Amino acid sequence: MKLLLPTPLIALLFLGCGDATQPPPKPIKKQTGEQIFVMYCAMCHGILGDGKGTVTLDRPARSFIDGGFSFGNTVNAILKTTRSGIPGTPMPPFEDILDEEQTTKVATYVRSLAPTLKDVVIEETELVVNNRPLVVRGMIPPIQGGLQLHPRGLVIGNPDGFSYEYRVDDVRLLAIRQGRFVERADWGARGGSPLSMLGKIIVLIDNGNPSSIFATSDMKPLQTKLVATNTLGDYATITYDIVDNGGNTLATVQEQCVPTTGARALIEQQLTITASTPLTMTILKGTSMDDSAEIPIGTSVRTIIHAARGSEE
Amino acid sequence: MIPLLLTVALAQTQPEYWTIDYLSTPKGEVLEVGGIGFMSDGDLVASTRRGQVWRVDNPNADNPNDATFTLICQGLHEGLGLSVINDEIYVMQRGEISKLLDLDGDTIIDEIQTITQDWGMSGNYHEFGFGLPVDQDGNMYFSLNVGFWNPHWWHGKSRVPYRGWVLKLSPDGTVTPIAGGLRSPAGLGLLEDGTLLVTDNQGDWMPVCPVFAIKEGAFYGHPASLRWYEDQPDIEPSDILPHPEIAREHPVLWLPYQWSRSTGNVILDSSGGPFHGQYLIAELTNGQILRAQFEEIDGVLQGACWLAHQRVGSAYHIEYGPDGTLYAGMTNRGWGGLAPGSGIARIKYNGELPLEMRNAHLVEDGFEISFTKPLASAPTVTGNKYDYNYWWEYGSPQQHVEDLQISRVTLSDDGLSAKVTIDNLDAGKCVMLKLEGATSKDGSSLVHNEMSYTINKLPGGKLAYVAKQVEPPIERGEQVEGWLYLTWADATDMWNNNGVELCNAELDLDNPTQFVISNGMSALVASEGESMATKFDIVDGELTFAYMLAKESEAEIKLPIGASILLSNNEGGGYLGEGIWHNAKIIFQASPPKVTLVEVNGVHTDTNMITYSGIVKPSPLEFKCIKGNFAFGDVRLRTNLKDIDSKEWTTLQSDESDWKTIGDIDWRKSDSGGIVIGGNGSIILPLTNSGFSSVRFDCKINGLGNAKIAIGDLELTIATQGDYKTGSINGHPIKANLVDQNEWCTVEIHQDKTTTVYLNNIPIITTDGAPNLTGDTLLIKVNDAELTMRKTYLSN
Repeated sequence: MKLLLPTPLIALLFLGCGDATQPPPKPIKKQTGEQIFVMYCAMCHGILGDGKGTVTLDRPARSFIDGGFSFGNTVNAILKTTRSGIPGTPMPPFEDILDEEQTTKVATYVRSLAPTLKDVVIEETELVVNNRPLVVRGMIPPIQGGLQLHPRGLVIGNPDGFSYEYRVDDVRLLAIRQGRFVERADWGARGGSPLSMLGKIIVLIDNGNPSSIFATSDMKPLQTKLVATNTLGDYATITYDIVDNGGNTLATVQEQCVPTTGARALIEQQLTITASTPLTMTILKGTSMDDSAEIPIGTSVRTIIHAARGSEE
Repeated sequence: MIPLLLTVALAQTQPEYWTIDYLSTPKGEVLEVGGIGFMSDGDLVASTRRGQVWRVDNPNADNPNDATFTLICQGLHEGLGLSVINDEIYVMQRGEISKLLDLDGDTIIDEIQTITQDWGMSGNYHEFGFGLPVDQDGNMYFSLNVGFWNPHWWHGKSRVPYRGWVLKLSPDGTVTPIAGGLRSPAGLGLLEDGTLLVTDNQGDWMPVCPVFAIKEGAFYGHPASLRWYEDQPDIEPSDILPHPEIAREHPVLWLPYQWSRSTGNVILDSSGGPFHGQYLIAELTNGQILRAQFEEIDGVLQGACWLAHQRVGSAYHIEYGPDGTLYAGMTNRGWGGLAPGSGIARIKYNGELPLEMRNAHLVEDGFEISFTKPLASAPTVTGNKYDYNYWWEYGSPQQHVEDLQISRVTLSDDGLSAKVTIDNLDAGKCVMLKLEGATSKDGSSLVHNEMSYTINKLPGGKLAYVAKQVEPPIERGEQVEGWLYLTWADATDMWNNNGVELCNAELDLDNPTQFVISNGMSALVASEGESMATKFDIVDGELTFAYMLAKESEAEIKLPIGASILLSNNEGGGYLGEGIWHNAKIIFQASPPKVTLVEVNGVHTDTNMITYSGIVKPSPLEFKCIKGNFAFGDVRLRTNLKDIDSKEWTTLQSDESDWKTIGDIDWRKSDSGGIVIGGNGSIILPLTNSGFSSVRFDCKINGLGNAKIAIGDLELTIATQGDYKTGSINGHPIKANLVDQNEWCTVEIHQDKTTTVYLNNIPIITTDGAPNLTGDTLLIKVNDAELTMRKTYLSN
């Protein structure tokens, strides 16, 4: 679709003010709307368009920043006002001063000063992790070609700049990223689109499609069910139950991911497993584990180690 | 040109009895509220569509600016429902119901516990989840939207379990599906006796928005979710056929379309005000709140509704605060609704009793209507009755509209009630009554003078459906419907534009004579004198479009038959007022010149007053703002399709054994005798006809790619994306998406001195510089798409 309003807000350049007592300067071709504004409008409407100009008027000039326009706020309406002025007010007609192109440019610029109210912009949709972890639930788009979308997913963002992408219909860590966090694009239009991951993938677990890592002691694969996410500490935790086909809980796992420091960039996926029946873990390709893959009844701690991409050269 | 003035009625507002104001949300934040609850300390908690939860301290402050907002949780997957039980916050997310916990006492949520995710999600964008009322036993209720798929983008499907159902979450965490047949059940509520209420939204199988009182195991009409009935294991719901073998439950109310187009939740009026014990219904498109009252007639629940609070904003979720203030959480994104489209409104009763109809009780031969104050004399009552079609089409116009024969209106001695005797009342109808001249003894006049009642059953009579099963409309998949979407994709491509801007627009609440506009593509906005006229000429047709006027604004639609339709702010008929989007439909014919239908929001407007003069000649269709500010969009047009005259046209002839293919394509003959070509490549058909100068065929395309059909040097594009969309020929791109994917269209190209391309009989390109049509092959090229062609004819 064509967008008729290419009016991004541009940073103001301070080019100096005109003086109301002097004749207006001769128009110069190829000026920007902003330059025309500064030259012809700013003395009354203020350099910022806030209505606070240098000229004293018997009634205050319009503040464009507040979005008020006497005869409509479309570019066309502002064009008309600029051409014809507003009779009975200090707003003069610019018909004989500005040519059509200049009038259009300045009207477009003036419109750009006004608030745009309901648009979702990237600043609004980007979620930023500050001083505490943030967990975002949403759809996880296919990580790479040939993989599926996960309608139920979540992304953990920790203050250290690492983020962890999970599917949560059957809880599995899919990828580890570093950098910017998540764009919540699912607000736009009618909603319902997947999250957009902004970080760079540094670990792709089992090519982004990991199989279940938990099995019974006789190697029957088990499923997991999300229990909770917690963002109280420095690293967010995710808790899930390991369940059998009948839905019975065999164990509960609390998991957090912590990058190690040192010569190689490694991410430790730390699992605290409380099991009511013995279980077996599968070591996925590209990962290693610090301890036995056999999980006894009771509480055990296991750490799965992921090597970040590029750290092994 | 004689303008048609839409029906005039008085604007209905009631500022003197209730005040509406708005809490000041934090600067830069947009709270699209989906759920509201209250903590024991009086704080309001609101979940939003954007996945946040806010806690509002002092929500009932005298000055709304004194309420303070704290963001306590973010990152949820939508929050279209919230409840607070014992100071614990539960949120309905798209994928789970969660409990939010503050572990360290700073009000910020530290832990999100998954209570359940026991339902299916396919990933379809429309699979919203709504909730979350709690009954006295601690059960929570939630509903699941169907996904939207083909054959039309709004066609509901239940691909995964319990889409289209309402479900119960028990305190022990078990989830029980209660009932299905729902479509977009965006609002829930509970009757005082604990009966669950669900509202749905107009669309396929929902003629208008209903309110259902839910019975366990019942079916509410949308067949998609029949897949999940345990007692119907083999059923595979049809897209287009009803399932009369499954008993369909009646709603307790069908809400008049002009009152509610996107319905939110229902709540019990617990305010202690004049309608205490009745129910309120949120409505977001028209931005208002309705009032409803239910009664049992021989065991069948049904009832009446009225307008209650207008011009509130896009009210999606309403809730009473502990002090009796009504809070309305608003959201419009994705649906479109009256400004403000986000935030929280407060509606407070000032204690002065308005004159309103309080109750309506159906009797065999009419209604007993009670009033809040004694009337001075019996009012004049008029009204009509109508029903709807139950079918797969999107919504239904009112059907079988008939005036009510009101023989008598008798006021009780105390003036507090009136018996309206009606001679032609029957079951299976909605009734709209209008009271005129109703004045109370203390001199006040009726604030809202219209009442709607849904009669499933008359006392002692039989139960009958208001939404009547009818023959399904023609399956669009196989028919050339003839619509051109004149503003899809490139909104101005098909128009000569005199100043109209493409942007987003909503009413400027500080100055309602204008719109606040922002970058976007949802509206074409015209100020006084600005207009858009089609680049092509027509003589007759059927036109649909959406429009919105600012205050003190007028616009006209100029038709090529010497008449124009004036759109003004005179409320009445289906017109609701400034700042609200309306759907309009106009049908006009050339011979004799006549506007045969004008409809606003599904309500017919009288067209008898138009007289015609002047010469009818092919001319453009024009949208013009004649005063103030006017926004319009989604303009669709179709004109009468011509039948094939076998004297003029001969079937295209080509010997199949000479056909050659290039590249990776598959082709086959379709059931209807056409040809289906898919993949990436070309097929060349040598022609045995010669000397032709016109070609005509039907075609449709699926997939996101494109197809080109070349005869001689002339190459026609069939595509829904890219610079050359369906209807384009060499050097003459069509940038508007006039025909959607999977929709049949008729293409006709004539060449003599000039070349004209007709799409669905509308001349979209006329040029004298087009390449020569005559050639000895027909070449069809497809790129990542499947093209189907049929009924291919040539003519001299």
